[in-house]
Amino acid sequence: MKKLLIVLFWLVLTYLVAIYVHWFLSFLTPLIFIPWLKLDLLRSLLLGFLVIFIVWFSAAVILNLRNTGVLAEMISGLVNVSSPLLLLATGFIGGFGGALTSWLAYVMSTPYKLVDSSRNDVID
Amino acid sequence: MIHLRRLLMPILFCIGYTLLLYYPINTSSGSLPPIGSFFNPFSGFWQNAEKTTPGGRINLSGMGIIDPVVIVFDERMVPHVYATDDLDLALLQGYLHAKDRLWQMDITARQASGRLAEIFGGRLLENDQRMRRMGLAKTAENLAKNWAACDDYKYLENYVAGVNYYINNLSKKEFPVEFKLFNYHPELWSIEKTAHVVMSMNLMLCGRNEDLAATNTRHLLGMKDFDDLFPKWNPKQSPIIPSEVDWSDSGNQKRKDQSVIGFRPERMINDAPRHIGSNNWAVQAGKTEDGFPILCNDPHLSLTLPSIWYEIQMKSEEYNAYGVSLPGIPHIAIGFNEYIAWGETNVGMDVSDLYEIEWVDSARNSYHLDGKVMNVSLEVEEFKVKNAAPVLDTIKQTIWGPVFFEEGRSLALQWLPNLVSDNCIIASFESLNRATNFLEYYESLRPFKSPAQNFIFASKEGDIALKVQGALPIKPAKEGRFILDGSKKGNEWSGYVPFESTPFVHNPVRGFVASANQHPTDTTYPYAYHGYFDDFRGRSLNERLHRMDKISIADMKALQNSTFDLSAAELLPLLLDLVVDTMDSSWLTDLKMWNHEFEGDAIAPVKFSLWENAFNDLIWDEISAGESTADAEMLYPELWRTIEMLEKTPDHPYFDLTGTSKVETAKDLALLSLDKSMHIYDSLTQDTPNLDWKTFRSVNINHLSRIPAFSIAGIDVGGTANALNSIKGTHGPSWRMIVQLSDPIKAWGIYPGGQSGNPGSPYYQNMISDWARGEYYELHFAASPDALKDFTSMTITIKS
Repeated sequence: MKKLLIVLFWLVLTYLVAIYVHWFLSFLTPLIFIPWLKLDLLRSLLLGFLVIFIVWFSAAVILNLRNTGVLAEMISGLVNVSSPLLLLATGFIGGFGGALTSWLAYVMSTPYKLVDSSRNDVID
Repeated sequence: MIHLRRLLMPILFCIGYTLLLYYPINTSSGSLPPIGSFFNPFSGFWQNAEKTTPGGRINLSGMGIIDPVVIVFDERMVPHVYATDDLDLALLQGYLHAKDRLWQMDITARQASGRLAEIFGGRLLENDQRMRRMGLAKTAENLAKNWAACDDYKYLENYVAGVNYYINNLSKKEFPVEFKLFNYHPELWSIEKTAHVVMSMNLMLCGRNEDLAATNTRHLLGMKDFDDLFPKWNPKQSPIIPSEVDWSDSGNQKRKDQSVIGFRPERMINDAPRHIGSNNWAVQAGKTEDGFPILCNDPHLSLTLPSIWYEIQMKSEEYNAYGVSLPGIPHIAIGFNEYIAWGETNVGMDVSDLYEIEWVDSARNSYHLDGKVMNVSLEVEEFKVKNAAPVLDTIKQTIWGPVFFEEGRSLALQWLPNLVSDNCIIASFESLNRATNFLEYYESLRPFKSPAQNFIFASKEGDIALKVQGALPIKPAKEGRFILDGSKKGNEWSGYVPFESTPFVHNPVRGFVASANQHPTDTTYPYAYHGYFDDFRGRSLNERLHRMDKISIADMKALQNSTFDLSAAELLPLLLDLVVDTMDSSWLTDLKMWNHEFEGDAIAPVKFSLWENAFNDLIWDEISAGESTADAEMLYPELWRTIEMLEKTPDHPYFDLTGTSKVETAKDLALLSLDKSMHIYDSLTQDTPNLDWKTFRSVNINHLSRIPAFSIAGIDVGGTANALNSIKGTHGPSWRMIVQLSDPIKAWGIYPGGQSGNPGSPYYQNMISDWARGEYYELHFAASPDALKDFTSMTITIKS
């Protein structure tokens, strides 16, 4: 339950950061939340991907719905994919960035353990 | 120490990682936009997905408005601006142009200033060099300085301020999608950029030059044959100014034609098509059903998305005009106010001449002129190129203008728009927008120098008029048609036709004035001129307006949408007569039954077009053979001359094919071309049975960057080049307007596009299908915002 709340908080924060600060900073939010959630590598990657995917995908879906797909159709023609695929591609690009940062966040949290364990002073 | 290292290392790692991730995701690769910044839904292209219901808050309080203003957007998002002060109108027109058409304005100005390679890379460098060499950027710079002396400069300054208010308040996520796609930022607007847009119009409307082709063709055929095949005057022509007009002015003196004769391997790249077919006409009250004058105008320009036009109404205490404006240029170009209506078609006079330069030595820095040695002035132009080093180009300036071709024999270009630095085009539009009667219309045209236009006029008072206005160079009879000797100063132009002597007609006896890009005058006009004139639409229009009486608005709509082609009506019977006793087939029956209407779903126009093209290919085999042998640009006779030859000299030597021992006549060519066209038709219909005209002649409205996804292809529409509904592949009626000068004024209009330049807007292309069907919208020329309440989509109120 606690972890679910953290993930929800992560989603909201990512939205707010992307809207009000800079879209690129949405990629960096895993640096806060992955160490906090203390997941293994695979789960970190998947969750990082999923959170940013959801944020980017849902934002694109909302914009697309209020535009009744007019622009999506144009851009789809430009990049030779269908409109639904364009939405998925948007989510995937975001998710990819999120997964990469999650990997970084996971790796960064690991050296603490290594350093501390060499001193027999493991801090979890 | 350990703590510091434990803290520092992750931070450095984070920064490094961020940079590593940020760089590839935010950097463009080749022609592709940066993937992250383009796709992200917070500032990328998704932000351009406009809501289908207009709305939202627009705060314009910091704009510097003098008095309160209300802007009402009607159901097609046409803004109706209600201000008190004229300068507020200027600010808001600039703002609205930028709001809806910023990228179009940017790219139009860049094209004329030779700066496209900065955005699109080296493939457009040659185009940029040609623009600078033609002098567009330099002339725009001079125009911008000289406009300070024109009336209405303050209005222009405010217009620019309005554009820049929009740009300065634009966040990256609000950039038009093309800026995101091509990965660059909008620049602040300036008066010079407005001058670039004016020069872009000059390039489109009077940038054509056929001197090279004409000189080569005359060399190939000889002077006698050239004069026979390319006569200057079509005897069937029905000029703009009716023959009843008496030219009391004196003509210009004749001079010996001193053209240089010789092949030139280069080819001119003509940005303007040969006939930009526009129509305008005005009929007096006595000829109309309701007893009010009616004015119609449909300028046929390049059909693009965003559209070349932006519809707007602007009202202040002293100004109330409605019509279409050109994004980047203030005021209304074609429209009406509470008293008058006006419109334009292109004149098409040749205002561009090539002069051969006689260099003193191989250094090519000095040239002969009347026995004296003149030095060129060198101008170094720098071209920025995307993803490449800048390129420098040296342009040599002579007394004639820039040296345009330098390889082999050199040619300098004299182009009128570069010479008329007092071209107060904006002041002219401003006066026209405010004019209340005939005299004010007439005087408003005085500052207008280029590109020359047929300005049509009608007023509530019942006047109709048409003036051919622009700086018209005074040239001897044949001068300007061929390359001239640049070593003789006597070959220069002898000034311009005085304003009072440019062709003009006011309230003619026939009860109408009209133009369709044909010859402005008959042969009695005292000033010799040459140009690229229409030979069929003008005749067709004059003949039909003569016939018409009790004209209704529906009649005017039908006339603007007429797909009848006079050239087909004249050529086809002649061709059929030649083959009728030799061949009989259902193919020919279709053509015999055809009414010469180029309707979209008709099949006969396809057959005729194939036959006409095949016939033309055979007749002018001498010229096409010369063109391919010498690899030199050639000129081909006009269709009216072919028709005249068929009518009067069916055994003309040019009907004989050069590659055969037999002496062919027109009949042989008609049969051969018929056979060829039937074969082509059969092969085409194997893939597309019932191939109709709209499918055969596809009409496309391309996005300005030619991105297919932002363009509309294969529009279901009729019309052809020589019909009043003059639609070619990418050219056609860019704005159809009908104004009834009643009280209150009633008007109808449409253009093929939409008010928004944003491909993600529901108003990007919303008028195209109605335009293709020949439909019109009633234009809401409302006196106040309240009068628009039934049509309002959105309102912006600005307090001072």
